[in-house]
Amino acid sequence: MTTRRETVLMRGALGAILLLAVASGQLAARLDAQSAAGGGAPNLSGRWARAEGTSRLSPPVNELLNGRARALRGVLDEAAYPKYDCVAATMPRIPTDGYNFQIRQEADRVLLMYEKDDVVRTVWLRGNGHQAPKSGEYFLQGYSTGWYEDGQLLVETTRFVYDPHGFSDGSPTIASSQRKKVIERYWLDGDRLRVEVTAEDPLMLNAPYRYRYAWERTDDEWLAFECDVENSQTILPFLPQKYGP
Amino acid sequence: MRRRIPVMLAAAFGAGLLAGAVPLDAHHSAAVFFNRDQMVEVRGTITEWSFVNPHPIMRIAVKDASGGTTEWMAQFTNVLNMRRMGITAETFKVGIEVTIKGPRSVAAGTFSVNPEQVILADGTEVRAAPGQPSNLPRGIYKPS
Repeated sequence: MTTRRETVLMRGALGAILLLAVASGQLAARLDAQSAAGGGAPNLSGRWARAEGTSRLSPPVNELLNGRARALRGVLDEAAYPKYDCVAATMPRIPTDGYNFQIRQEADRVLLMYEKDDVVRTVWLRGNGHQAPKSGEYFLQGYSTGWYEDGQLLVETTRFVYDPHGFSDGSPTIASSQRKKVIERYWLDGDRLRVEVTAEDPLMLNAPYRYRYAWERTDDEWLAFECDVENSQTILPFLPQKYGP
Repeated sequence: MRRRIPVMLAAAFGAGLLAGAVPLDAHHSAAVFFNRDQMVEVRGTITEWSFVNPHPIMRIAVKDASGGTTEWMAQFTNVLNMRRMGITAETFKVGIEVTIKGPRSVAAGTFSVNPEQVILADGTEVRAAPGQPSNLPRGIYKPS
């Protein structure tokens, strides 16, 4: 026969077990969520269309150029720009065009995919054991790592190759160097996705170039860019020659 | 025989059409190639229509009063922008007559136009400049 004291103890133990089970379940669910999208991760996944124009947070990039960048801008020749061979645009240039883009959040990475030039960027979420590039390894789209912080996705990209139109592919273009660093912040503001971009380049800019823009979710059909090199070069005979053929 | 023909009509039009939109930038700067101070109207027969990126191309055979023909090249914005304005590879056909309005190429002795409007033989007007609201029924263009 069970005494009243034993009954109370058993009830207490059962309650503790129940509490532990609930807590461990919650913890497991939280860990799953964290591993799926990172702690405090906003749901950014989906397809986005530009909702408004670009808000400058710094002077335009052409007002930030140092002497080296200004000199380069003066001598670079439109006909020699890589874009005429369909070389894709890079950050921070890509999103200043109004093309749609999409975000896919995965457990250990975030994919940023753009209609513009069919660019796909992989952001490696920190803390997942990804191997950093070796010395001497540089990439057209750079090497991006990311993390979640206060409901925002932060992305840091370095290891860009020198890019003759890394800051602007207007004419004349503005080049970026292998020391370019781009920080992006993504956060939700109601239905809008806001993105703030800061680009630094000690070899080209006197101060960081910063801008912000907003996106809204879209059901627009995703369209491939599929740049055709032959088509891209068709216009070159109509180019006023700077240095001759 | 290719002969230089007089520009059929030069007129300033279209100013402000881009206002208020988030344009899909061209692959290259149109200002390098085309002079907005020299708007032209080119009428001819399509000899080539290539709806590919970065810039769909149309070649047009343009006849002048003396029977000579000059080939003009029309270079459009891009496939994505045009599809969202309702323009597809089927919108234009080789052999049909069109009238194209837009800025003319800058380089001396070249015959190219950056279309802002294409007018078909039946009078249908196809708006072709980025940022313009679509006037075509299947357009899915949505100005920002």
